[in-house]
Amino acid sequence: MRQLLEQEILPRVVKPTRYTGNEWNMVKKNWEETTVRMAFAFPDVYEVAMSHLGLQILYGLVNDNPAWLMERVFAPWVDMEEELRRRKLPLFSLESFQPLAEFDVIGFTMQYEMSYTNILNMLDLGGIPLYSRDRNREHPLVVAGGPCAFNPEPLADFMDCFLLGDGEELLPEVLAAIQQLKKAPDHRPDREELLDRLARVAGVYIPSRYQVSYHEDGRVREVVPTMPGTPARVIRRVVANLDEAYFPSKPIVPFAEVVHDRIMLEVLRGCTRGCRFCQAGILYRPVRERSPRVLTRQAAVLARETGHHEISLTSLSTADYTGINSLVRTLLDTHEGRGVGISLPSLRVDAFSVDLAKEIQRVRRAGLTFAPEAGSQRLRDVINKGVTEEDLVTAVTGAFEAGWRGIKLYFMMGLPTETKEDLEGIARLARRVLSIGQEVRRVKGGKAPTVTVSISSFVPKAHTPFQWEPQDPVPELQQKQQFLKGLLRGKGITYNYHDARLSFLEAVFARGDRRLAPVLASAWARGCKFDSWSEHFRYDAWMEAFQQHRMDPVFYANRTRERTEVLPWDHLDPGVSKDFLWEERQMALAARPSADCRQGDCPGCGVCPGLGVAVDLRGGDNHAQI
Amino acid sequence: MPRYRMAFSKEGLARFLSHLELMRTWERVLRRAGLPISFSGGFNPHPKMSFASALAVGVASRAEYLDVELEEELGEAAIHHRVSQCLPEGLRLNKVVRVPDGAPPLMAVVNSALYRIKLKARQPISAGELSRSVAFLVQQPAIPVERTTKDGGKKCYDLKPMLFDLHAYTAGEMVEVVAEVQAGSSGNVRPEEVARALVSTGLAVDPHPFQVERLGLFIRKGGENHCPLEVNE
Repeated sequence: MRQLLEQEILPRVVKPTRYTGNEWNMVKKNWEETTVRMAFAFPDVYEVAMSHLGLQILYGLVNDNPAWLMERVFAPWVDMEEELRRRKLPLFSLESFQPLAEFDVIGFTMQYEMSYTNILNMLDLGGIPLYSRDRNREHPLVVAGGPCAFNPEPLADFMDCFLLGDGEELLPEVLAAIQQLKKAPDHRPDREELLDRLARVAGVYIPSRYQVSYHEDGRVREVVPTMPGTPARVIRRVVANLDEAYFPSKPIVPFAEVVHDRIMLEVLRGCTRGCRFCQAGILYRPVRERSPRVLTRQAAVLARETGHHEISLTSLSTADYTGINSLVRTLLDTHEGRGVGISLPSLRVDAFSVDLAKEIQRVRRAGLTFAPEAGSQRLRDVINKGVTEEDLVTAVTGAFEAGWRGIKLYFMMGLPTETKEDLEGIARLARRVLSIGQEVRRVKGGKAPTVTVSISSFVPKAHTPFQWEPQDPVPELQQKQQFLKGLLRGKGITYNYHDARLSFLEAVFARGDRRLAPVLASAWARGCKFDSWSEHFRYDAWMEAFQQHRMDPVFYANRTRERTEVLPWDHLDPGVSKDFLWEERQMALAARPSADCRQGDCPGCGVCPGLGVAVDLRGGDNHAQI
Repeated sequence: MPRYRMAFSKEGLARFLSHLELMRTWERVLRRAGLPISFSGGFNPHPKMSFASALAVGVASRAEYLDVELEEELGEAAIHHRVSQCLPEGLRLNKVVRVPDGAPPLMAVVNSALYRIKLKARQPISAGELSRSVAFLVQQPAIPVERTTKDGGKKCYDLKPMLFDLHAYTAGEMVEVVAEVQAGSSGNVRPEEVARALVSTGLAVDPHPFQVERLGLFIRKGGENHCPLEVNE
């Protein structure tokens, strides 16, 4: 395989380092000496896959066990796929060039809905039957985790199990269970026996052991376990203490320039801001911070072991970290002399964040991005985005005065209750930001200011307060996009938006059920893959696939659900109660904000008592001394 | 600031690194090695390092050169030891020498490259046939070669004055060409252009090289080659 790859295939594909492996810190084990062999499968191209922190964590964790092996398999780009198919070669792992089918377990990560066709394509390239029912003990166990695993129903017929929650907790238990049943390194346990064993691991969801029935109008009637020992609800697994959680001290350093080409230092997990459209905000509760002492040590180890030039303080909301100022100062003092900068993936819309950005740009300067998300105060209250126009004005004034000239603003459109005034508000805010920039320039000089406005279409997600809400129909989204295009013309303003049809399909699969499996398979068979890459998105093929199976995508994307409706994901429990989500929805419609538990004000989402964990704020642990 | 010249090879799967990827990799290697690298100023500080000549994706090399500037003087052996431990598979450090202050940069002096180009024969080729092809080619008053530019256009140039030496051998179903050609800022010959020139003589080989290896980079002065490591003469 390797010789063929080197001599015949790699010279013919673009960016061959996507397929060579051999990067610094890659773990290459002796295949024969390990018992449980798992492929971590990311259904996108190398540059995206290698930017995923979860991969680095699980790769280190699994490979630290001498009996286990984890190798990487990513979606080959179309040119590579053609080379493989033409030669009838199977998809292989980057470490030892093993065919996918040789592994005991293939673990896909479900990061976004529009990667599902790539999952099917990778299974097919690996010579593995797509449907779980067509696989037997000769085939690998196919599992999947990640945020989309909390409504995995469209993939239910393809996966043997789904893993819910933090992988550091759950995956070792899954691999240990497999190891127990493997009598020899090349022995493969009976599938039913294996599933019986895995059903006892908390957080493992085995879709084939649930029966879904439907009302005549297409809504779900009920979801019931079909075998004894199968839990009625599968509850998310969660790492209680981030300081003690596994930390990968030797992450792989790609040769290729990947999307996040830097050290990812995870400062906290979870976010309690409670934006009502945000799924991650629910799925990663409660907030758990790492201590500054642990973080400074980890940063030093990572800088030494990788040689990266930048440390990104990653999380859903890094500026919320309790001791962020002193952490940033400590890290800068230690690393900037060696040309290593610090960066934040996102900023809050406030003066505090701009001061933080000023501090950080001592080494490297990046653009500034703010996400007001909506154009009016009323709509920002609906989505519980605790940001005022005043906050934005203060933040951008600070940014322009500090010398930044390019500001990016993120908004969403199609949000529940949205009116024309809300959309006009987006344009008005963008113009106001630009004129602040021009004002500052008149005094201070420098380059002309620019404002980039990126507007995405709202996609209602499972397990959020908006899970009952309809998405705007595609023509309406497109009209709104054109309306905004008209308002956002002119010098200094750039307007970006996504294909509304892609957001529509995302909405279908984000809240889809099992009956979408054949649609997905047909779309794939019609050539759909890399759907989120605009040059590969084939909407017509998707629509043909829906028609072929007499399925109506509008039923999933554009319908208002009732309070009493059984949702396809109700048996999967992230710890946050459905009642809380409904209350939040009611508050949204009344444009009332809700509390943030960081301030000690518990809104009663249910996650702490439900999962036996607590909000864990450690960032200020040595703050008092500084 | 003291400057050090490193000679390294790029082999195996590492030969598929692009020049940009190679630069990024070296930057990380030097940081991991904990060397006191000197940085350029500005908002995006970069280590002060420069390469002799870019190598195309897929081309192996046993003689690449890189200059690195450090903040302080360090022993060549110590640098060699620390850097070697931080190199990914496929990259190997062969030698480190201290460059005298004021010596010209690598890019300004390296002007010649020696390649071994393996070509697949389309039909059996005898040694006599091969040497006649080579002899015919080098006797031409001009060797026009077409090159595709970055924007997709075509341009023609004369390979003749940039082809310093050419030999070829038969090796089973392969033809092995050893060519010394001009490299560097004043003109760079691509190995596949030498292959195409041979095909134009009627030689029945595949014009897309099966394998290319750079055997050497030189400072060519008065018809004589000097190794870039000979810094003290």
